[in-house]
Amino acid sequence: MTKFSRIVTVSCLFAMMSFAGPQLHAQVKDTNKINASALKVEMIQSEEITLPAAFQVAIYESVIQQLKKQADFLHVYRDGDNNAANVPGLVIFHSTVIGFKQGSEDKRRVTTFAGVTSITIHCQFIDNQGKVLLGQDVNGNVRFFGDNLKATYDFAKKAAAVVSENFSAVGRS
Amino acid sequence: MISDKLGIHMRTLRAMSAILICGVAALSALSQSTSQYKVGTITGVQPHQGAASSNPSAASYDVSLKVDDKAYVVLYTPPYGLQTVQYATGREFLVLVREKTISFNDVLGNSSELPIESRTAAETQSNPPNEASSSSPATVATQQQAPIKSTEIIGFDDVKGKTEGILTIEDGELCFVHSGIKSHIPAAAIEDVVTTDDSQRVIRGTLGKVTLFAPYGTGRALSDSLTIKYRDDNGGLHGAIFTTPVGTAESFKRALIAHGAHTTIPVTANAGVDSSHQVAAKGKQ
Repeated sequence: MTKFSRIVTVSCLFAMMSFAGPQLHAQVKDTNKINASALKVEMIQSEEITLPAAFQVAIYESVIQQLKKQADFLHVYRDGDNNAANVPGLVIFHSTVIGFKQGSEDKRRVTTFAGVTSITIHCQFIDNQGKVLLGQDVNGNVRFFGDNLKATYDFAKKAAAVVSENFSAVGRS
Repeated sequence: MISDKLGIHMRTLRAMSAILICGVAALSALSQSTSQYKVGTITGVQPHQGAASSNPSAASYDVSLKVDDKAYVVLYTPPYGLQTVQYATGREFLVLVREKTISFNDVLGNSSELPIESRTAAETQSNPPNEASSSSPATVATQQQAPIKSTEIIGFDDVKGKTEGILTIEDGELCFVHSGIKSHIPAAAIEDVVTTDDSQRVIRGTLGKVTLFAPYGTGRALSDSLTIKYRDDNGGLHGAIFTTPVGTAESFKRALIAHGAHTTIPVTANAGVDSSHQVAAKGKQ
């Protein structure tokens, strides 16, 4: 084998590995994902921390909006939706507020370092049998500019990302 | 020597008593002046007869106002030719009734003095005195809720966030009209209506700064918020948030309840009064 053919062979092998590697990795990663056919989002609970109704609603609606964008492989049902009753592979998204710091848009606008609004929510994904498939704390905040709604938007984006990273539609894995 | 000291003590005591009496008198005068402000309810608005003339920007209105057991008609000429007063029936304000005029502070804290055109006992008005002030659903149901300018913050599927429109109640439905499109929810499907004031009462127990509990910049716009939760035909839970002009959310909530909406925080008898106080307080800030 000439020196040239050796170089060509090694280059081909390297190219094949570089193409196949990420696909293999993705397949391995996908097998670690949780299979689900649909997701039912429950209204945000705030038992120990009293959360203003507007925040509760803003979080709930933002989560549904973001799930429809980022996790469109899952059908999203709302809390109480009768159509979700007998759906096989349904996962329930249960969330409880565990931390809430009310900031101030005015302070943020004036100082850009004070007045941070922060929300920490414990997210649980539960199957039909009541088994917790995944539990994770997710926080949302608005630090510099913008109204407090951005904290709920920030949380919703991160929560939807958690779903996107950890779940796959039934039949896709 | 002893008598001199006694005399000095007596003089000091008299001076202190005089100061104390003056202080008490001043305090009582102050409290009397603030207590003269009373809650007035607008019971009707009619264009002023002599003013339906050439210049529409100078339009005047005969505003019927109920204060305690008296009904007044005052002449009101809105600044800049505004016509929003036509939709103000049912709204409550803090007013100061004088012999010939009634004063009130607007949202910006500007004081206006309106001439009294007539003064009668409230019973002779078209609205019985207890009807306007009562907050019971049965009586509120008979009142027409005026459309209010509103911004939908989040929650309607077919409406983009932070869309401005008009919020009203028509045929037992909450309607949000924007760009000629009408979105509506049956009032009976609403399982909770909460205003900014409600959240403050629940969390703090007292009324504080309105903007503290809003997830959006209500501080800039001086607005109230109306948060609703409702069910769709499949039982799915939805939520929506609207901002409304300051002092209007409570009356809108009452009207929604009168049309069959539910709430977890009952409307208090003085809720409207609280809003009026807030209007006055904010105006003075």
